[in-house]
Amino acid sequence: MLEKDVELFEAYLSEVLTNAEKNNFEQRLSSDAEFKTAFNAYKNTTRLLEQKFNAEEDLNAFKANLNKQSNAYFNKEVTRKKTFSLYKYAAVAILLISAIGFYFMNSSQPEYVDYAQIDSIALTQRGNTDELAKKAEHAYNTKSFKNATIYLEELIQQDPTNEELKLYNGIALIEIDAFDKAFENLISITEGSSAFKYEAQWYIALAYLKQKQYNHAKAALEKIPSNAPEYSKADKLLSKL
Amino acid sequence: MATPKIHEDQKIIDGLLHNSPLVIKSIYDRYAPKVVNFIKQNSGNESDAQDIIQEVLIMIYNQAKFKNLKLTCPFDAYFFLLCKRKWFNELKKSSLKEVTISEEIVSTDESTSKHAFETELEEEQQHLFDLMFERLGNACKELLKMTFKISSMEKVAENLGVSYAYARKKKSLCIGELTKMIQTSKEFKQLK
Repeated sequence: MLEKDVELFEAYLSEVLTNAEKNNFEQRLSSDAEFKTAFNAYKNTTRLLEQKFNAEEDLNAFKANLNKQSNAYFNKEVTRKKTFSLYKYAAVAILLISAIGFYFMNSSQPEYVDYAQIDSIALTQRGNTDELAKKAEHAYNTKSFKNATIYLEELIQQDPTNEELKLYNGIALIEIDAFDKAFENLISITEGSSAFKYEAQWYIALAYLKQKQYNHAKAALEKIPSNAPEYSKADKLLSKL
Repeated sequence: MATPKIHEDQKIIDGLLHNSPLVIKSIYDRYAPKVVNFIKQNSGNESDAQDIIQEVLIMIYNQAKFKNLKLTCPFDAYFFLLCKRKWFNELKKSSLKEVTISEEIVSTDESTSKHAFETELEEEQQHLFDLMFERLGNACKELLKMTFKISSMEKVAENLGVSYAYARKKKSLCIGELTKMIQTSKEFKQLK
């Protein structure tokens, strides 16, 4: 590929050629096969660069969402298999507990612990041997939330636009009653447009619920639109507040 | 030549493109079990299946986003064929020679194969591109990163403290070099 040719390719693609130069260029494209092949290759590299850098954010948002759904699907598979035989006992226990609960707590307000369902997280992927991510994942999944927040915060510093990390950090912070910091993490997610937007909104509501600020919790829940996956649980909780 | 009719499953592709959690969830619910079974019957386990599905969905997303994928076959067939071929490639790589490969009947027609082939080609191209980009000199890497992240070349020139014409010239030389590296690589000859 000749130096003066690539300069010409770039000038043509950035539309800085005069009309006469442009016509010349296009004529050469149709008459000179070698020139045309080189130009197409150049254009293709430009397209791949655009993909790599321009669409990086979209792709990362997609990957985060995908990762979440994938883990939800496959972890459910595993848990279902492991706990199947426990189900009948669990069912009896739940029936008993809810009967007792219904009897004693019928008139009380809903509680944070009834709604906060903390699922395991997966931060490490195939080929990813990031020690810090492993530590964060382990701490979170073994419910040492204080440690989890320390590691997560470090990870966020390395990757400040990662909304998934912020969500987990927010949840861990609620668990250890560090509400201010939890809000800081969660609110920044709700202001963005990532897949975690409404899940973050749901945890904001739960943070208020944990502090028994029911009106704030209500207002937070009302911000979840009816087409969000979190809507049905938000609606249920709203009806109890 | 009549343009082939777009399949109604195009809505799944559109959902992926819009990063819709509901669409992604429904893909897992509806189409993952078949892939999991297939991989388990062919020397793999559930975690292999999880990886393969995720990688294939990223391929499909890229194909939709950058190649304007318009599906003319059922999603199921396209998705399954990609997963199957990706898994066979994994098996080939991992020197597991003695694998039992049980063929499953899946409606593969020309349009499904064509879609799968194009999707795989695009993935290979991207992979090769990433590889070569990493081998590019640091000055070019930085300049290209900047020019494509900041869409205005004038701003880039200003940031670098050079003239617009000079920045454009540098950019073109870097792209030219990257193109040459791609085309002369041995992997490029294996493409297509």
